[in-house]
Amino acid sequence: MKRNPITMITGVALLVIFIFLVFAFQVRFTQVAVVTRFGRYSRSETNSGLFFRLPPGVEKVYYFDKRLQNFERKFEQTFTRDKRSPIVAIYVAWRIADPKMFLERFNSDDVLVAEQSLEGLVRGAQNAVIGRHDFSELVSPDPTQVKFDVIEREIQEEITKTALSNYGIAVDLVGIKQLGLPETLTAKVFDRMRAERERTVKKLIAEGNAEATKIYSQARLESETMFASAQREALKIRGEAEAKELKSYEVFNQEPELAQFFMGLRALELSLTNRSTLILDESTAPLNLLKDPKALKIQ
Amino acid sequence: MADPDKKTGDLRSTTSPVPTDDASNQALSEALNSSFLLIKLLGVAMLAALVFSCYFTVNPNEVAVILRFGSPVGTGREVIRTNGLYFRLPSPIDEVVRIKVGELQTVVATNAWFGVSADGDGAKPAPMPQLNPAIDGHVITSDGNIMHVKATMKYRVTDPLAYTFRFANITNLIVNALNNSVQWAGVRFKADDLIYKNPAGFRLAIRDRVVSVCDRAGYGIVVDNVDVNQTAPGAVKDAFDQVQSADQEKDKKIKEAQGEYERITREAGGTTNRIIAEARSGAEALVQGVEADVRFFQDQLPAYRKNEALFRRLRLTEVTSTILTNSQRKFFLPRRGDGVPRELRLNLNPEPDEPPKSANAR
Repeated sequence: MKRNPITMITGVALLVIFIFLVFAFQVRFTQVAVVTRFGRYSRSETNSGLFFRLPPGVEKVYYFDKRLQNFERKFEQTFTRDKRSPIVAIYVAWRIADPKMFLERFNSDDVLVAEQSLEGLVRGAQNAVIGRHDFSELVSPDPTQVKFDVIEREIQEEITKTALSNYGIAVDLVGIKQLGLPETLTAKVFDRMRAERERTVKKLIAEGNAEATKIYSQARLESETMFASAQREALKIRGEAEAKELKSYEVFNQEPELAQFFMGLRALELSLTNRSTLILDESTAPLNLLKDPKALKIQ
Repeated sequence: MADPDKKTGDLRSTTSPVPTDDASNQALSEALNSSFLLIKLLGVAMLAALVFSCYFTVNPNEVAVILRFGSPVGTGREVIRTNGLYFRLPSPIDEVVRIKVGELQTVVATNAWFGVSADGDGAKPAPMPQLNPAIDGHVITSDGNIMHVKATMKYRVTDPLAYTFRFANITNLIVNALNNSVQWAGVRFKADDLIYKNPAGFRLAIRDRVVSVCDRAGYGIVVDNVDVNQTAPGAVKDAFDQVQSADQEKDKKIKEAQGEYERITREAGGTTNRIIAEARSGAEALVQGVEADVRFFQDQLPAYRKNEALFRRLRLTEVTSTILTNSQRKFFLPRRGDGVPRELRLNLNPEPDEPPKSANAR
């Protein structure tokens, strides 16, 4: 009997597809698979690729996301060693490290089921670790006292201890995503903040006034110093000039009477200036000419 | 009951069987041929579509990874396909995962930002007497105050494999890294530093922290920019504004004082320069005057020695004429005929008194 090759190829292709659908499964780069046979753990496929299995009913494949998961809790009031009660919320980056154990514990490959258990674990670790530290190790004016990173690391270690051995979960990162105060405390903090600001306002005003006064005083002091210095300099200049004057006047010793005559004339000229009133009689030269034109006769 | 064979026999007896079979076979054959042709055409079209779907393009600003049976194809840097045309095997053998790498991506940390009330505009916090942590996020500053902070981070993907395949929800992890950095930086800054004195330092602290966290966790990103907004809670915002006003007032006073300092010292400098200049010019005038007097004296000395009386009279007359010219009022008092000196009574207050200033002011 002659057979159509196309029919043959199609038949073989359909058979191959069927075999692959029933006997093969893919594990993605981001996954790890656990195969169970009649409900019992058989093997884990941690590498990605194509794998074979016995048909459904005999073997069942569970796929687990091996990527880091982000789990975050809502904030919760936590007590520190010194009985302060901040609210804290943390986030956890976790992954499935042991898929066999994970499947045994949760009977599911759903990470959300695991996160329900993880939440209790995280809450316990958060309360335990923060309860071992004072509030000043979370918030302090002295940066050397703050142990933010230490607390995060301790919470991570605390979670890891149980998560890995009990759930097959590895915790790669823990971080505090919120740190605050409970609602009842915020009102008191606001009162304190207002009081602090009022004090700061007064302090700033006083500082401004003091600084300004200091600058004004400095300006006056410098000004007066400059005046005094200038006066001294001026006095010195005048003194030097007067010394020169005295030295020059030695020339007048040649004829002291003439010198006195000149000075007398100058004094007369300077004292009788614009607004002066003169009362003269006929004997005053040159008015004496009015009475006797010869009066000016030089003898 | 009718016999079917008979019925058939009847039918055969009434029609001619051979030509009917030929026609049916021919029609069937033609129909099958047409169907096969259609199937062949359909097959060719499907094959063409299959071949066509095996080629894909990687656009700019993205890279692609081919997963064959779930495993990346290639080794090392060959795993990443940059922009260009590529071949892949049909699904479900190969799967193409596209990853955006070039463009900036943005995440916002709102865990420390105030909630927007129904009547609020979102621009500023409502002045509530207390904060509800479920609505109003905040940071505790190192001096125990409460502040609102919002951080916006822009980043680019530098390691597409890690960014896409190592984390189930990378965006949430990055947001939480930013949230963590805001809180971490908040407890290291005082409220006044955070909001007024050193906001740039606060921003830098957040940036450094988030870079450190992302690098440590291997998120495969590079932080491009972190922008930070911070504000005081509504209940105390006025108090903070008053501090800012007082601080500005302080600066203003100091600047005014510094301006006044400049003015006073500049004026003092001018005055001192003038005093010294006047002293110098006075001294110079004095010296020059003396020198002139000396020269004049020496010039006049020979004439004086020649005829002292004449010299005195001539000089006196010159001076008298100058005085008479310059004086305002001159009285000539002729001698009485009996030779008795005239008696003059002087009013020594010739100018009228000035009116009192107070009267003037009125």
